[in-house]
Amino acid sequence: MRVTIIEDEEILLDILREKFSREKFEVSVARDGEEAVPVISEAKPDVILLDLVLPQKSGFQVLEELKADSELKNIPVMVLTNLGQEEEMRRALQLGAEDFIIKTQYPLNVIVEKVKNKIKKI
Amino acid sequence: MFKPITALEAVLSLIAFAAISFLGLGVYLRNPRSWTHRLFILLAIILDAYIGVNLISLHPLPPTQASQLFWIRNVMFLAALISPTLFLLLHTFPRNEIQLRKRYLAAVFVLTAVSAVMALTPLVFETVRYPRGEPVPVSGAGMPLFFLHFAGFIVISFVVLLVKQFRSRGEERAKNSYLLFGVIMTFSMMTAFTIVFVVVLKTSIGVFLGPIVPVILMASIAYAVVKHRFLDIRPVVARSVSYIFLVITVAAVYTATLLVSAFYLGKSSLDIRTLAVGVVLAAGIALTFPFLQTFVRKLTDKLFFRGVYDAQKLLADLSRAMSATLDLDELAKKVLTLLAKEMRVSKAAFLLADRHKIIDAKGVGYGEAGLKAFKDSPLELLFHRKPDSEPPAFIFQDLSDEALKNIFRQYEIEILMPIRAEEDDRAILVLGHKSSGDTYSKQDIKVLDAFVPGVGIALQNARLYTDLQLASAAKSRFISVVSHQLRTPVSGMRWNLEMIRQEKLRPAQKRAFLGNAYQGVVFLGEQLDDILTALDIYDKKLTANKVLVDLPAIFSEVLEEFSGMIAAKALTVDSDINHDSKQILAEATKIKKVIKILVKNAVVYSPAKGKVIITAHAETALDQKKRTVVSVIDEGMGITEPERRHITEEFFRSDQARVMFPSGLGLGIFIAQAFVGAHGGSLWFYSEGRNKGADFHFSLPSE
Repeated sequence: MRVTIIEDEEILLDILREKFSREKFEVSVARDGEEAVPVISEAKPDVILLDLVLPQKSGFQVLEELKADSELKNIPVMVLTNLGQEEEMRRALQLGAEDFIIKTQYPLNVIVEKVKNKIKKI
Repeated sequence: MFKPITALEAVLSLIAFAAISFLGLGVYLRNPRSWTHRLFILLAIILDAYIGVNLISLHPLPPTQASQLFWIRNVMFLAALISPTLFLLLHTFPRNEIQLRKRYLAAVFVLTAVSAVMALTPLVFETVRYPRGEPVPVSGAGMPLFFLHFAGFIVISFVVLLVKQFRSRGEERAKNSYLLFGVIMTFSMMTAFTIVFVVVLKTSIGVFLGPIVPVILMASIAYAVVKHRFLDIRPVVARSVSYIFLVITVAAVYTATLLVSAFYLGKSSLDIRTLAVGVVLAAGIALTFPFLQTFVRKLTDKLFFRGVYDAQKLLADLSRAMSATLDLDELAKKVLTLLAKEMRVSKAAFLLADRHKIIDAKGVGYGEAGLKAFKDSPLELLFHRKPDSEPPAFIFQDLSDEALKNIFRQYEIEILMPIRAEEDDRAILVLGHKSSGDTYSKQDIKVLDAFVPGVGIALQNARLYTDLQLASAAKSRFISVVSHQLRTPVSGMRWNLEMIRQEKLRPAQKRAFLGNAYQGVVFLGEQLDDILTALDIYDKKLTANKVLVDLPAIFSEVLEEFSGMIAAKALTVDSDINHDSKQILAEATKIKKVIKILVKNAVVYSPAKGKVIITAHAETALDQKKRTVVSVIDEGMGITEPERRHITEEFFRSDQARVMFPSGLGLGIFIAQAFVGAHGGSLWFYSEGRNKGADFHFSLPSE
C-alpha cells in the first residue's frame, strides 16, 4: 500500500508519516504545491492525501493538475484539510476529490481506515 | 489709356471692403486680448487697404503714368505684408498667444520689411507700359526675390495648416479644414488674377475681380475662429429652406389649379363658379397646410439634421441602461457605448474618484493605456474648480485658461462634467471629439446635464455593490483563514496525544510527540492572542505600561525563537544596537511582539541565503523630541505600489505572501502599528517593489 501525503505543517506531516508507516504503508511526502505532482509521478501511490492550504500552489491547483494528467488522474485523492466552508468543500469535490476530511474531526485511526477502505475498493 | 472707374468695379470693391471690415471688427471684438483675433483684424486692415489701393492703381489720380506706377508699387507693398501676416495668423490659430519663437519672429519681420521696401523701388516694377492701351507693369530685377518672399510665406502657411490638420483632433481639426479651404481658394485665385494675368499674360483683365478673393479667405478664417455651438446656423437655414419649399409648393398647386380650372371653364372673368373654385381651393390650402408644413419640415430636417438624435429617447434608453446592472464595468460600458453612439462621440469615460483623487477610469474609445493615464492626470484639480458656465461643464472651446486647454488636448477631451452624488464629487464624465468633427450642440449639453445626476447615483450604487462584494469575499476569506489557523494546532495536539495513548512507543518517541502537542498548545495560544488583540484594537483599549526595557535581550530572545527557520533558509542576520538605545522606555511584551512580527515577516518572506538587518539607534526627530528608532530590513519579496495602501489593514495579505506562506492571519502589521501607537510612536515602511526587499521602522519616544 502506497500513500503520498501533501502537507506543509511539519508537525502534522511528522505524525501522519509515523502513523501510516506503522500501518505498513509506503509513505512519500511533499511539502508544497510545487513539489506535489513530481513526487506523485515518482511514487505512483494508491491514494493521495492532499492538504489545501499550501505554499507556492494551493491544493486546488494541485488537484486540477492531477486530474489533467492522464497518468495520474485515476489515483484517488482524499482532501485532508482544516478548511471547511461549504464553498471550499464543493469546489474540491467538483475538481475530482473523492473525499473531504476535516483534520480536527477525525482520529488518526479513522483516517487510516478510510484510506485502507479506499484502496480495498480499487 | 486711363479708363474711368466702372460701376461694377466700384460696387465689388465696396462690398469687399465692407465685408472684410465687418468680419475683421466682428472677430476682433469677440476677444481683443487674443493674438489670433488681433492678427485677424490686422490682416483685415491690410486687405482693406489693398482693395482701396488696387482700385486707385487701375484708375490713377492724377491720370499719369508716373502716378499709376506709384500706386501699383503701393499695391505690391501691401501684397508683401499679406502673406507673412497670414502666416502668423495661421500659426497662432487657435491659441491666444503667438507660438512662434522670438528669433523666427524677428526673421519674419526683417524679410517682410526688405520685401515691402523693395516693392516701392524699381526693383520690383521698373515701369508701366501701355501696349494695346492696357497698363502692363514691367518687372524689375528684384521681382523673383519679391515673389519668393510672397509665395514662400504662402507655402509655409500651407505647410503649417497641413501639419495642424494632421495633428489636431475633432473640433480643432474641423476648424482647421475651413482655414485650409480658404487659403487654397484664395491663393489659387489670387495667383491667377494678379500674378499669372499681369506678369505672364501681361493683361490686367482679371484684376478687377481681385477684391472678391480676400473676402473668401476672411470669411473662412472668421468662421473657423468663431465657430461655436451658440453660432450654429443650421436651424435658421433649415427653417428658411423649409418655408421656401412650402411657398413654392403652395404657389405651384394654386397656380396649376387656377390654370386648369380656367382652361376647363373657358372663362377668365370671376363668376360664381370661379369663386367657388377659389373658395374650395382656399379651404383646401387651409386644411392641407399644417400637414404639408409638417411633411416639408420633416423632409428638411432629414436633409439638415441627419446626425441629430431624439433627446427624449436617448435619455430614456440611458436610464434603462443605468438600471439594468449593478456591475460597475458593465454599467460604464453600456451607458457610455450608448451615449457615444447616439452623440457620435469617438471616446467617452467615467473617471472614478475617491476623496478627490482619480482612482479608476472606465470607458470606451480611449484604450487601455488612455484610461490608465487618467489615473495620474492633473484632471482631479478640477474637483476644486467650479465651471462658470451653466449647465456646469468644462467645454474645450469655452475654456480661457490656456494651461487647462493643453491638458484637454493632451487627454483628448472635448467636454468634462463633474458628477456629483450625495453632495460630493464622485466621478468625472469626459467626452472626446465628435467623429464628424462637429462642435457639441446645445442639445448635447442639455442631454448631458440631464443625464449626469442619474448616472452619479448609478455609479455610486455600483461602487457600493462592488464594495459589498469585496467585503463579503473578505469575510468569507477571514472565516476560512481563522478556522484553518485554529484547527491546525488542535488537530496536531489531538493526533499527537492519540499516538501517545494508542501506540506502543519508546520513551524518546513519547517525549517527541508530547513536545509536538505542547507546540500546538503554544501556537494555538498565539493565534487566539492575535485575534483577541485585534478585537481590542477595534475597541481602542490599548495603552502601554512603560518601564525601562533591555532591548538587546529582546532582540536575542526573538532571534532565538526563529533560529530554526533562519538556519533552514541559511539567512544571514546582522543585529546592531547603538549604545545609546540599549535601554528603552516601553512595555516589554508589546515591544517584543512588535519586533517579533517584523522579524518573522523578514525571515518568512526572505529568499534562501538572504540577509536580514536589525538595528536600533537614538535620534532627535524634526519636532526636537528624542526617540529610539528600531529598523528591520530584509531582501525579501517587498511591497508593490497597490499593496502599500493596504499593508496596515487587518487581515490584509498580499497574493505573493499567500503563495510563500499560506497560513497567516494577516494581523501582524495591523497589531504592530497599534502597539507602537499605544507607546506614542509611529511605524513606517519602504520598499522599491516586488522582490526588492522591504524596510520596516518604528519609533518610540524616549521620554
